[in-house]
Amino acid sequence: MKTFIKIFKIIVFIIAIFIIGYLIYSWYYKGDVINV
Amino acid sequence: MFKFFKRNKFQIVSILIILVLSALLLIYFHPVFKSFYNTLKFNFNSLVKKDFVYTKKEYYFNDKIVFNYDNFDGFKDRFNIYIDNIFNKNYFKSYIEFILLELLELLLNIFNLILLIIPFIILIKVYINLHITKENNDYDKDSMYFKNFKKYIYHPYLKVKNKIIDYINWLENHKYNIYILITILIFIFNGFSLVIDLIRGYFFLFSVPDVSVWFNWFYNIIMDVSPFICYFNYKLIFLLILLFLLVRYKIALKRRKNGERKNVEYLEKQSIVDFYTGSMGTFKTATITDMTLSYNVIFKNKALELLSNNMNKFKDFSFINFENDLKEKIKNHQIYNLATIDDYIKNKRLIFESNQIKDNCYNYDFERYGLYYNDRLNIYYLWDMLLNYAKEYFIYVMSSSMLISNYSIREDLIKKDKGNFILIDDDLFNRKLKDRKENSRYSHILDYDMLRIGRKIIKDNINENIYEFGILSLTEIGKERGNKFDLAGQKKNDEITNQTNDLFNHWLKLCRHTATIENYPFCKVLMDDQRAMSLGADVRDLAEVIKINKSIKNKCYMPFYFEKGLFHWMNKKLNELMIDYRYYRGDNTMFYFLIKNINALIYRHILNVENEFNYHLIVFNKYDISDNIDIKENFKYHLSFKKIFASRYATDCYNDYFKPLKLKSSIGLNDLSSYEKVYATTDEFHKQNSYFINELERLGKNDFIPVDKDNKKKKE
Repeated sequence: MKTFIKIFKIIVFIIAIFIIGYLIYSWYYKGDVINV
Repeated sequence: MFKFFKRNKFQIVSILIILVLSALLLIYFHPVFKSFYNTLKFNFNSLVKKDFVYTKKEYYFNDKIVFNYDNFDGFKDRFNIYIDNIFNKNYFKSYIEFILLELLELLLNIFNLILLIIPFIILIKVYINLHITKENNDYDKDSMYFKNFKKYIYHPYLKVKNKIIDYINWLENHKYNIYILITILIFIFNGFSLVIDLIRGYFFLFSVPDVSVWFNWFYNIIMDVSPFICYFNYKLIFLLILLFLLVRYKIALKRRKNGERKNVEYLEKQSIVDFYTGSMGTFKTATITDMTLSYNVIFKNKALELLSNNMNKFKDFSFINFENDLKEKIKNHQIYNLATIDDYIKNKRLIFESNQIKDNCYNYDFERYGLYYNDRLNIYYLWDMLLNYAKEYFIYVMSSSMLISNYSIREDLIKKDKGNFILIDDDLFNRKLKDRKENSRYSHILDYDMLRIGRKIIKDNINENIYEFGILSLTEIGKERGNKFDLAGQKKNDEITNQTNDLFNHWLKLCRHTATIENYPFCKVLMDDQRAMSLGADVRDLAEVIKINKSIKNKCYMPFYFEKGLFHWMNKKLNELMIDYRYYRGDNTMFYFLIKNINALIYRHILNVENEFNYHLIVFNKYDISDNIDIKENFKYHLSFKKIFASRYATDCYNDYFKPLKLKSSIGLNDLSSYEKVYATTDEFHKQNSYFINELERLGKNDFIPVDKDNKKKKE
């Protein structure tokens, strides 16, 4: 159970960093975006 | 003149630092004056005009954060586009692409770095091996490089370091210098403007429900902090690391406090007598010692709570007069226990009742404020309250320890007295090591005669009636009291005092009676032994038997302590290297000096963190003796290193008892004879003085001897 919680915490941490990264990226990225 | 400089050298250094900083301020940060003036003017004008419109003010710094959208409409448009971008799947795709590419690049870089480092590591390893294995016996001789290094760099460095440490110590006692320095630094980095803008924001802004005004305010705040950010730039990463370390430290402090809070919550629920059992090395004695210290704090806090309640009951009574009188009587040894307090207050009460004047009642205007208090349960008479108050006050302020134990325990509750009400500092973690000697007190020596209602070992023992209240900590109680097998043959009518006629058990059953004040018993008995059955059933059934199941060792309160593994590994490797060096060589070289210092630093860091924030988690559950089962309710007790392992007690508390016996011995382990080979000889077996070997010898000589014959032989 404890190992599961630890792994779960790490996964949540990685996803959080991924989402924060995306939010920052979409603010600054000014490349060509094809509107579909 | 020279003497004056020498005497005030640190003050002069402080003034110089302040002057240099002020000069820097003038040279590099002169716009700060203009900005500060502008902020004052801006805010003052809007205050006078009662103007809620918040616009951007002017800034005079060349370096400032560039804001692409300096009005709210522009920002709004950009934000709308941003929201669209977030939900644009092409953006998401390109983000994934970006992440993957970055990761790939990172991996390649790491791979390159490893390739680059490997030859260097091999070279360093070869060098170290060659250097270390140059055998010599030049005891404590410095190599040429190291000699020069010591002379020209290391010793001057130590000199400067010591001066700086002296200066820091001086600053601790002259803190105004630090405050001046901090004020100047805050001013340099536009801190005062920031504070004014924040205050203005707090009072005015949130009453204006206009987002564009908030945007302007936010813009101004960002501009206020921009000199700080622009000046430090990439160096901010170091500040962030410092901030991270600080936050980590603060969280650890909070967690440690929480651990102690949970301990206290558990202890407050427990009954009067607790008996902790567990096998050797499960921290039984450490646990009961830790609990003893916590109970000391609990009792002091409970006494304070009861004192406050009594103060609320008779709020107009001048308690300070009463306390001063008590203090004097305690000092004169007229009051030295609860019974003498009883007598003293009764006497005072009689004097008052025979002559009802203010002076006989500590200058209390009883005619105006009354002598009775109704708490919806009982009606309290002033003198009954005073009796309780005096007892609680005695317990709260008593100068010696409340602990009584059969081993020594150090406690350090600090009494803070400014001549009025005495306060007890009960934070056992917040103690300065250098003040330990003056703050420490040791537990009282337990005279078992004071726990015996019946026969005593020493007739008319002066200590026999001392115990009224307090915390008793009895380690290895089974060895003292024994169980029914140990006590077989002992009788109540025996001439000699023994466990059956000393009525210790009766005392244990009645111990709370002398210690109860306002229905709260200021008495606690903590005992430990390896087996519950080692203790006689009468005492055992009185106590709550708690079995320590396991101890989870070396947990740490500090979060994100990820350097732990690396530092322990490095410490181990460097230790091995140093021992290797010392095996081959006896001289001192630069290499040895470096390794020694790096290792010392790493070790210091490990100690700094782990001695401060490590703890053992003791898991125990209640043990039902009659059914011989554990009640499955796990309790977790935190044994914080900082509290329990700070010279609180000695695990080898019987050491000094055995020392004289060991001194009598004329030989040591080196002189004890050893076996000659793997198969022991008969002579060697004889030297064991073993029952088993003797039995073997006896049986071997007589071949097979039937039992009755053997008995016959014995009779002969």
